[in-house]
Amino acid sequence: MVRVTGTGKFTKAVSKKLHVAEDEVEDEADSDKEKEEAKEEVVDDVKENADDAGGSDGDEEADDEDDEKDDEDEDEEDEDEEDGLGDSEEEEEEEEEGAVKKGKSRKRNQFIDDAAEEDEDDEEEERGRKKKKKKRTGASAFIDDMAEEEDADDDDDDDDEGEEEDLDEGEREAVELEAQQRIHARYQNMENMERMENEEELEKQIKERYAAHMAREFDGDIVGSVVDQQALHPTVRDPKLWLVTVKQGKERETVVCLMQKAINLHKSGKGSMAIKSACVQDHLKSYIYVEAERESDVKKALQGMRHVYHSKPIKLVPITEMVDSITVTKKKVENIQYQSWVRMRGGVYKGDLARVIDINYADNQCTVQLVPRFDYALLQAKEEGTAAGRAKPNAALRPPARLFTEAEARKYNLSLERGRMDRRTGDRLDILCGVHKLRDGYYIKTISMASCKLAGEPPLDELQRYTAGEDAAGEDRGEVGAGKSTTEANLEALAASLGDRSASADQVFRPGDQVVVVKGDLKNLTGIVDRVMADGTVQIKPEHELLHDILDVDRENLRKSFKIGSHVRCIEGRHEGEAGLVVKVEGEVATVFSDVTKEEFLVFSHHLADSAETTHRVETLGEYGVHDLALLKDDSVGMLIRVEKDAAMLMMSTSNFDRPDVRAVRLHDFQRKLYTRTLSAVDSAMETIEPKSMCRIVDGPGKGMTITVEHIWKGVLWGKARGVSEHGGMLVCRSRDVKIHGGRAKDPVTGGRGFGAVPMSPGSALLRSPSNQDNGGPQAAPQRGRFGGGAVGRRDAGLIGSNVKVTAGVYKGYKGKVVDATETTVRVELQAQGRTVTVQRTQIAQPGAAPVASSYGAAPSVASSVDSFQPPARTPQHRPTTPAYNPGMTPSRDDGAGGRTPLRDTAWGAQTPAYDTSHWNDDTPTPGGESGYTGTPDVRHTGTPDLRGGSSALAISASDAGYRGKFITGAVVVLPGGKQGVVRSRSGDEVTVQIGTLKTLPNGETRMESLEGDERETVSEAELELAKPQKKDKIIVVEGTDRGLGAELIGVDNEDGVIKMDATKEISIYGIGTLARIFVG
Amino acid sequence: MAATATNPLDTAAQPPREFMKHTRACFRCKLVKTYEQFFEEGCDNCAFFQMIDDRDRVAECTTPSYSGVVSVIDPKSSWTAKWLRLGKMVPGCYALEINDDMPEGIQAEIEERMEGRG
Repeated sequence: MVRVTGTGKFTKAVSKKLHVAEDEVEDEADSDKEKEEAKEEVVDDVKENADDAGGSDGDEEADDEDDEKDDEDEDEEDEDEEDGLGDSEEEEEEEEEGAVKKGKSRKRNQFIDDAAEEDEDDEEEERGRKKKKKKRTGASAFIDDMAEEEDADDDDDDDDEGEEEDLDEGEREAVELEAQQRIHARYQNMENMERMENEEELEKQIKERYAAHMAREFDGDIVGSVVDQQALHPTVRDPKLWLVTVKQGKERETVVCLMQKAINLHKSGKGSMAIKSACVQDHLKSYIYVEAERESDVKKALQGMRHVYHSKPIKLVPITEMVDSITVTKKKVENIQYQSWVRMRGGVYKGDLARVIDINYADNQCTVQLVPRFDYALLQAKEEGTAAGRAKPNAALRPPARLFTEAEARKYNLSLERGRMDRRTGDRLDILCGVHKLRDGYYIKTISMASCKLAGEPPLDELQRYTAGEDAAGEDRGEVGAGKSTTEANLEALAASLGDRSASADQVFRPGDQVVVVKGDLKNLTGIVDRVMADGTVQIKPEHELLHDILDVDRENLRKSFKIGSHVRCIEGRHEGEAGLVVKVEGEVATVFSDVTKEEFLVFSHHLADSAETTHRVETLGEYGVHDLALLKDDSVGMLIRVEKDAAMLMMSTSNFDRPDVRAVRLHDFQRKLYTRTLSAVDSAMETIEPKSMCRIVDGPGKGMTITVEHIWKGVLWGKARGVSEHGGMLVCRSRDVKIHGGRAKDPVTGGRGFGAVPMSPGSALLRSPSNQDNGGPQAAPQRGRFGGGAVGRRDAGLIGSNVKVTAGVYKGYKGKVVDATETTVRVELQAQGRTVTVQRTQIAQPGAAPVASSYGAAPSVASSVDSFQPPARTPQHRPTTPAYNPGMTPSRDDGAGGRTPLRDTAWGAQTPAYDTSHWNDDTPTPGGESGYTGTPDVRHTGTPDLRGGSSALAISASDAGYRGKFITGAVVVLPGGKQGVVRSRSGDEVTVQIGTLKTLPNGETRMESLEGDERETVSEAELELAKPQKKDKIIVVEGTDRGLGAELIGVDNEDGVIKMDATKEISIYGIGTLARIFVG
Repeated sequence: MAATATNPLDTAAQPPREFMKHTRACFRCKLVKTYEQFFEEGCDNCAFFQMIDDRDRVAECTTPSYSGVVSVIDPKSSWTAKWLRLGKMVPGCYALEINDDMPEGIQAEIEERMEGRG
């Protein structure tokens, strides 16, 4: 049978054409009329076609009815024809029209229609055979169906006679032939088209047609359906979608209720609902879709429904939007399963990690294993039935999460039933207090699935905390594999617990990655990734003596491996973006020491990448980098100490050493970056603090810490402290609580005594030195008087512009240019840091000249180890900076009493007695033990011990500044006549020597023993020789790089002297000729 | 509207007794009912799953992870049902989409059945 199928255009066009042609041939007179009719027909066709497009099987029955009606009409017409012998052409047209219509509709109900049609045809034939045949031969071949043709043929056979009566044989044959040819051509054409374009649809149609016969026991499977979804797009023939407003949250209920209503109506026999379906989208709030032909159907169906806003208009969904309305984009939603990691949503366990050990979908419940947070005291109270037990647990107090132990139960005298069989878990559990189920120390709790949520991949450290007690518990039960360290077992268990999902699937390998094979024949083979293929295999270059070829390995079988010490960057997880050194590798877990936070963290090795290889580094968040100071939207200020994935950790200005206020701040909460380079603050002594200054916290939290100031903002300092590991070593303090290193301000305590304004002459400083008090007090007193009038801050232009090296203190080792100098301090522009710092004069040395080197050089190191700042270092050298004022400062004048040197005591310990005992020195610093006085001592107190000159630490005195020869002041020299003396001064080549008394030693050498009287001689340098020092002599190196440094001669080996440097305690060997003995009276 | 001798609603699946909680959707036909309903009546379309009185089977063959609900009242004439390929299912409430992956076992079972019939 011929079917005029879906794509009707072609058929229509052809039919029209033929139609017109035939009309012309047949009857020109009627052509106009026919054309009109043709037009009508086309219009009808179009209409029908539009309706039919997409072929709705749902309309089958309706169409069937229509078709049947059409056929009946035809019959009637035929009958009319017979009766009235009316205009045959017109009749033909009508019949054609009917036939075309039939053809059109048949595309949906071919079989049924045909059956009907055939019957009717038969009837027709019986009734009006001749007429029909005549008509056929005349014109209407093109519309004929195969069926009719066949019928016709059959009829021919049957009714040959009749036909022959009416028609000329030859004519009939010719016409028939022509008609058949035409039909054939058309038929083929259509077949081709069907094959090409509509195979699928045809198949679908056939399937659908037979679906009814296939009965219910088998409903063709939807899953594997090959039918093109495109063919299902809605047409105008389909029911429409209506948008109905319902109460929010009741969408699903309404939809389900509509279903129930339909069933109820049907069962009660009160008729049925005219709606086809109702639909709700999860994301669409307060709307549902109802599918129906008419709006009135929707209204009727919704009558009496709760939650429907009947007053709101029902909106028609445009046909173009229908598909979107009921389409859900499939999203992969993980749901809670057995062994899932979940997080508790509320209660005392809120946020805690738990493992699902049982799940019951029917009750929507799951049983989880938690690290218990029991309030044992409360449990005890409850058991004892005391009043406290009836009290509600304090919500604010959250008991710590730790595994239950029996000891705990005993301690609180709680009942514990061991090993009771639990039906739900099928395992033996311990029951605490009759209610709390426990297993291996974990709390087994059955909760509603709504009260927990999936945790995703929990961070490693949290997992470790979770499993922390498992080894202990497991060992008791003998479950942990022997020979494996429990931690390792744990970590492996962790890795396993996270499953392959985390480990293998999303691993990304890059060429150059160090990998290890973890599965298959090549297990444990290490290699380097050579290429990563598109199909997921990885080519590796094996690191094996016998394997040299590049191997293809599946990505799943590889893991990244990192050697200890390699620098890596975390590319995933909580520590994403952090870089660090691998310090330990255990199976799949690596321990990384972070560059930024200086803390260790654990991470899966597949979350790591070589830091050089990966570009995935997070060090800035927008324009904000680590250690920037930023102003936030709420006008608070903080410094970035770490940048994470999408937030930066800020140490806020409100934090202090004990309680750092560190917040995670997102980019949109930032207001702007603060530039503090030019800002400053004042310390507790009103000294100016600038960025990069070194300060010591003298008050408040963190007292005693030394920080390097990074940022200053409104009296708050952010600084980096040594020895602090948290938050990258950063801490916050008030500027008022610190004291700047190298400051010269008077001490607040002593300053208050009215002596603070005493001019800082070297003399005064000398006088206040402990050494003076101990043994040089009376001697020094006059000096003080002599020099007491010096002005504060007197400039010492001589030093300005010279290059110096800082020899002690926090800037020890730095070199720089002196930009300003006073008696006590110099401002040094550091070469390395590009900033200017204030340094005590006692702490600088001029390379080469070494005039300011300390004879107490050894002091600082000891002192600082005891008391992290360096006053003693400062002390010794005070006077050398002002040569003009220090005639009395030659070491020789000192008694060298070691007791005052920092070497032998803490800096302030040495000074304590001075303060206590001094009858003249009000200005002596208070010892550090006294509260409020821990800061840097006032400079003026510090610059003293050097007066003694020859104590345990020596240095070239200031009077030798600029002198490059060997005969420094204080050196013991041998005069041409064999006399020995001590150099007192020089003038050009002439050296004035104070002659001392000699003593002949047992080995025959002579040695100056003492200085008596004031005999002086002036000789030229050329005639002098340095006296050969002897073991245990105090000496100064007078040549070479260490020139000016004091030392003790600890041995003589021929012409070499073995010396121990005062400053560094290092042993050096020098030619004996380069060592000048310093006379220590 | 369709007026066939047998109304499809005769065979309609019970709508879920609850609306949000505890409802599950059949992996194969997306029929939405409560766990208990599946347990008691099985799936109206996929009887071969034999879920009746078998809790494990219910848990296996259905999933709580679905989105959207469509009440198909007249599967034969509804375009929605056709679009969602529910045209041959019994009337009832269906999920618009299943968000879970079908377990391999279930997948195999369905395929097997297809072949067996095919």
